[in-house]
Amino acid sequence: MLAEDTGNARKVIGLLPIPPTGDMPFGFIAVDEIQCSKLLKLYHTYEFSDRFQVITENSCYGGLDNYVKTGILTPEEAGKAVLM
Amino acid sequence: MDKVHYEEMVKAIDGLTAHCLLQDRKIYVFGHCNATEELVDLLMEKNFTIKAILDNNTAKHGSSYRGIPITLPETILSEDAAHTIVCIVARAYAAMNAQLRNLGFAGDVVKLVDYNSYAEYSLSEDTMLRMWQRVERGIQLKKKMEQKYPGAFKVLCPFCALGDVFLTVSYLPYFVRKRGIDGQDIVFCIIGSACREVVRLFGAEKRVECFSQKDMDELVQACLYTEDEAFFIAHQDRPYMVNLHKALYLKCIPLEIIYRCGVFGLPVDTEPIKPENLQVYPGLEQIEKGNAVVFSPYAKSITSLPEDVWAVIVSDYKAKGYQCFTNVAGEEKPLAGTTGISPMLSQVQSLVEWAGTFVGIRSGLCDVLKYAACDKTALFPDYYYCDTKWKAIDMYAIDGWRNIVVKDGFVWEKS
Repeated sequence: MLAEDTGNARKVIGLLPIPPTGDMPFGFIAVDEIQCSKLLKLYHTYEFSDRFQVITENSCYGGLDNYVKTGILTPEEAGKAVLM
Repeated sequence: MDKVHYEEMVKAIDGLTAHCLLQDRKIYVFGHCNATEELVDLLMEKNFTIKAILDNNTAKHGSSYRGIPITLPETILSEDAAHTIVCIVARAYAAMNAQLRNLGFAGDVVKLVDYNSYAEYSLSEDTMLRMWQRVERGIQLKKKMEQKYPGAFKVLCPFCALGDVFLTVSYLPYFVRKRGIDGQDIVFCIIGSACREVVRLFGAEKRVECFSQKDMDELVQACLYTEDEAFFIAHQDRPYMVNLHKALYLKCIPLEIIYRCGVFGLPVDTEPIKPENLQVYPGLEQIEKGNAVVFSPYAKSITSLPEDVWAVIVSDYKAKGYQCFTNVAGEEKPLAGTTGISPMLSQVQSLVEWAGTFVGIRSGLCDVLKYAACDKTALFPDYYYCDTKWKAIDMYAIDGWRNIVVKDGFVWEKS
């Protein structure tokens, strides 16, 4: 599914079915909840690609969101870091 | 590179040699780091010639190691793929292999050491089945932990690294308070007896479970899969879901702050807890109080410093009349002109405080000695932290210590 739609994109970010905003600095592919669930299950099984990441707060490990909460990064810097 | 991985690398090279996969080939290695230097050393010992060290860090291009140039990965494309092999001992094998394939390199790319059991860049059914079975094994380990420690909060330290474990235990009390679980039993899951000792520096009563690296990796994966909040993975860049390292592409964040703020989400002014379960080294009467120096030249995961650097430093202290000791473990040899000494981790602070002076390569032992009341010097090999533009000293400098980078032309400043 993703391979068909992404072509030669340097980065791919799949999002939950939420409406895209005009200022998102990346390509947008809408996935439904079943597709999202399958991708997350795969992601939690192993690292199947270094071009796929899940952006979420998680209580089992640290993350960039902690840097925003503690003032180490601004939200904009964290957003930029995520895409690096 | 630690001993287990080194032996794995030797075995892999012997296997390639036995199958004639190295002979009459252009040999490249990918990813300049301490482990790759050890690979180069080993290959050269076996009379193989390495064409180049490929690396994505442009700051390294133009430099060399033992006369072998460090160059960009695209260099490989000038070779006949059928007669070329790329050997990788760096941690990011999967990404490096993928990069070479994307560049169009069709020759052999071999992983000589398996650090990263989490990554397999394939969606084949065989891979997915194998990785799912790995998760299942991890879930069994998780269940055993839950049965042994019902209701406890389990903290996983996924690598055998003294400094990482030291930082974790230093900040954990604040973290559990933040989580509202400070009355709960805590169990530290670590790898290796030395890491167990580090945890117990903070209290003999601390509960510790020791795992092999393989079991730890599987347990970590199971915790990720089940998203069980009774477990916490305390590390700055592992496993793959932890994205803290990405901030380092924007700014320099020292390792202590990475743990304090990034891993544990604590305020930047949080003061770490200090170890309290320290013991007195039993052989102090053999050491001249205030007139001795303890050297620590060994660290398993970073480039060692040249012998002549240590020789100059030892010579300086001997000329000043110091009694000179080298902290050694296992088969490590004391530096020439010094006496070997092997305190337990709980005793080493009393030893260096009695001696009065400590000079060591920047390693986890320096974290253990962070608060020792003596003259302390940390020596940093000149290398970049992972694939960032920050040097090791930027990341690991310790407050209250002399932090010195050892690079070409290093001169020991006699104090």
